[in-house]
Amino acid sequence: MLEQIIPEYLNYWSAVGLQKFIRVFWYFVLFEFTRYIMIDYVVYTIFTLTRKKRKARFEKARQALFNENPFVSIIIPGKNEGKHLYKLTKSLAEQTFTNFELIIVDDGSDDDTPTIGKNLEKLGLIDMFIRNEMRGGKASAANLALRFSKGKYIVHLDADCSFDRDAIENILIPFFMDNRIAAVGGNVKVRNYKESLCTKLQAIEYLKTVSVGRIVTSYLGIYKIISGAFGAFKKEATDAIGGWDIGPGLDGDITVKIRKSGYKVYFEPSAVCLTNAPSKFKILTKQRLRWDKSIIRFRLRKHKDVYFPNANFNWATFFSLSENVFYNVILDILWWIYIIDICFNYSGSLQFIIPMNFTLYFVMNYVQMLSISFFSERSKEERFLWPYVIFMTLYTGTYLRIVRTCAYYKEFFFKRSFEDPWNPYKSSVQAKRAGL
Amino acid sequence: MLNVLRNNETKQTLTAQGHELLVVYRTSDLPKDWAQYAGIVVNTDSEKTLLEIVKKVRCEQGTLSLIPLFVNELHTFQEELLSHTDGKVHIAQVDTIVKKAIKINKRLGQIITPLNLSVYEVQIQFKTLAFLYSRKRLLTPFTSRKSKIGYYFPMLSLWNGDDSLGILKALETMQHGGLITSTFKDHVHLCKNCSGNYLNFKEICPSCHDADIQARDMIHHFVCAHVAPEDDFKKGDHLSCPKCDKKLRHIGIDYDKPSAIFLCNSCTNEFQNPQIQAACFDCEKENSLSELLQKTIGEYSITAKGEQWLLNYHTSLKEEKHSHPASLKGISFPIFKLMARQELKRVAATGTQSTLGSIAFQNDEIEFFNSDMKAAIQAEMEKIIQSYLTDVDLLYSEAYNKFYFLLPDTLASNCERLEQIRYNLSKLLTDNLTDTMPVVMHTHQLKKEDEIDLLLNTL
Repeated sequence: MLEQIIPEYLNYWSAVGLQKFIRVFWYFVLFEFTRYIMIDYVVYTIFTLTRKKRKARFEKARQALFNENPFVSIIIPGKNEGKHLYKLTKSLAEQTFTNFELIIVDDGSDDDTPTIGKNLEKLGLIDMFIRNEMRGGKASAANLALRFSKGKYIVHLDADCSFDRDAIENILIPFFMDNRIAAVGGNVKVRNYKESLCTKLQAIEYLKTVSVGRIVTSYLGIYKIISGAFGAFKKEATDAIGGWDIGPGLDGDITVKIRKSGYKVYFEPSAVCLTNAPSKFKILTKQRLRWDKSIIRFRLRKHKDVYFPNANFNWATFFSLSENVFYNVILDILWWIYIIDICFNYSGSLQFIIPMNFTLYFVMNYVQMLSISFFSERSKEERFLWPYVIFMTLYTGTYLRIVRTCAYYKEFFFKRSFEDPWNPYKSSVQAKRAGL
Repeated sequence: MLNVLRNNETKQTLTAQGHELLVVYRTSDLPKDWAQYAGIVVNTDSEKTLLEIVKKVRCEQGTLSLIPLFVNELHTFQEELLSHTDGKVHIAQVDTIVKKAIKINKRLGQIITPLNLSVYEVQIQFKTLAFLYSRKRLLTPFTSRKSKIGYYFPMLSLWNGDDSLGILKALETMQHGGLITSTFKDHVHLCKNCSGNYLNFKEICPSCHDADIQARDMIHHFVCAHVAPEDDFKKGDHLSCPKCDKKLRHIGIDYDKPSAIFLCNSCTNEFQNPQIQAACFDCEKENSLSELLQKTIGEYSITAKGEQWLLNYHTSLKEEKHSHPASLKGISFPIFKLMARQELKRVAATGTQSTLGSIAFQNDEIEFFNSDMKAAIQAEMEKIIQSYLTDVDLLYSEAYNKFYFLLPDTLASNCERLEQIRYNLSKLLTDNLTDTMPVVMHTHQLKKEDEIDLLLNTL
């Protein structure tokens, strides 16, 4: 059986020619290959060629950081995060940069968080522990911390993260490279990547989209999302934009707000933070539905002014959001069109097209993984993930696309993000009314 | 048969069932031989007079101080004062009064007065137990602003005056000795400096410790997620969001108040959890809550052991006088000495090699600790030493800093355990205390010509 199929399959593809090949796989050739292979490798080449220059610039900024030794406020808003707090304080105590205060806001926790937080404050491991009896949502908790922070720079963290020893130092350095940089994103990686297949696939995805993806977008000046798990902001810029607005998706929203204020945003790959990713697909689906809805809500609705010429129009912000919307929303729609196109026009050849499609994505994923290993400072450890790259076609190409489509549909037609329990109803209802 | 007699010397008595009760109106009415009467009834409306009489009677030595003392119920007095008497009586009901007096006197008669009553602690212990035994009642303290610790103790507060902590200590000692038992009534928190209970609890700034702090509500504006103290939102007589300029009209719809925050007017520090401080009104010492001395107040009653102590006082005193305090978990000194002598005989008879030794150290810091702390240290050190001793070894702990040990069939020079004991004790002391002198260990191999008493004095 197999002896018959393979030669037939090879004969088919050797006979079709390049033109027909591009016609059949137009989606892959035009978008996926260009974006994830060509651009990555071009940027990597430029990175390699400019390594010395970048290193010298980084070192100079590092010196400037330690000469000034600015006071930094590390803020951690969250609900029911008490169990992570002690470990977090220990992780921060190991940092090479030490001139910081630690402010933790408990957003109406209903577990032992208040007791743990107050004790840690009493022990001097936390500088300020603020408890809100009533939950107000992550944005309000972050704003509360911002109101009481005294630092020149604000570092926003998630409580369940841990950090490389020089993570705080490295996330602050870009501020000293360019005065117009007002926000720096850290490199968030998956800590529990060995836990399940779900976390392994997310670890690969994070390496692609968070680590390498953001190096590329940051280099191109279109970096669009500073992760809530690890991001640093200039206090004056954050105050000027009024801090965080109601989420979900508040980290992407604040990045756009900072961009719109005329500041630059930057991604620092050497500021490494490890976080736990959802270990079950059910939880992951919920998380991704939330994230994907926020693209429609913020990029298409709230910040639609970015796409039109006005007094504040900025090309970098325009491209940043356009790239985001194009590669997420437009390509998602195009993918379905591509599927329909193939099913209608090549229904007789699906037995050849589907395996070839998988082969192309399989090869592309491994080529992309190679580029990741060039960029990564943990490439040896990450070799563990290589065997699982084979599943990425199904994971990103099918599973995440379906989730994304559902999210876009729900948000576009029904504004479901305002009903997400992630944010308290009292805030969501007001935000919806105000068109935020 | 009731007879009221009034003699010419203004001495008035009540007689019933052959017992005579003295009725006094003034302090001067109290004759020198008042102890001859079955009891005293004070018939005065003057608090000062009653206090003088109560003091004069109750501060006598021994059981004499516990003579039945009643007050005419027509007069009103403070509870503190009445607590030292046997209560109010209707002066016309002589039979009832006499019955009460007889009961008390009968039990007082069974009590044997100790020989060393001049020792203050013994006297207090004796009187307390005698009071509880003769009255067959609970010693129930009651709240009083006049008492330094906030509680007033019948009789004891009269004897000890202002030393309320001394009363508690005396009661604790008796309780530890099993002479009295208590049921929980309350906890009191006292100043660490003067043991006073008149404390001013106040919230202070955790940064500068100033009490000039002010609580402010926090406001959460729903629509823009801005959160800040209420002052930030105040614009004239209305609330306006500093982030989005919207007017806040309706709590629960536009905004809520999720928490409050304190502002220190002295150092401008903002904080949510103020420290609590207890400032003592008596000595002005400022205590943090954890520093306050917590004492338990109970209702006390005499135990069977306490009664036995009262009734066979001489015997028990005799036994105690000649006994050495037993080692906390080890053996008493006489037994240790006896065993050492026995071991010496064995050494003489069999030629075996046994070791007698001592461990000692000096630390000025521990010297200032109270007896409970010293006992805890002694127990801890004894535990460490015991852990290195075998079943046949003996240990006697004389004090927290002096221990004797006997190691049968063991030669000190070959005994690694001794070095481990010395090392661990030194570590315990140096880890926890400053200025610790080295732990000194003396050992002696027993020889048949040795004198145990002499050895124990020289080691």
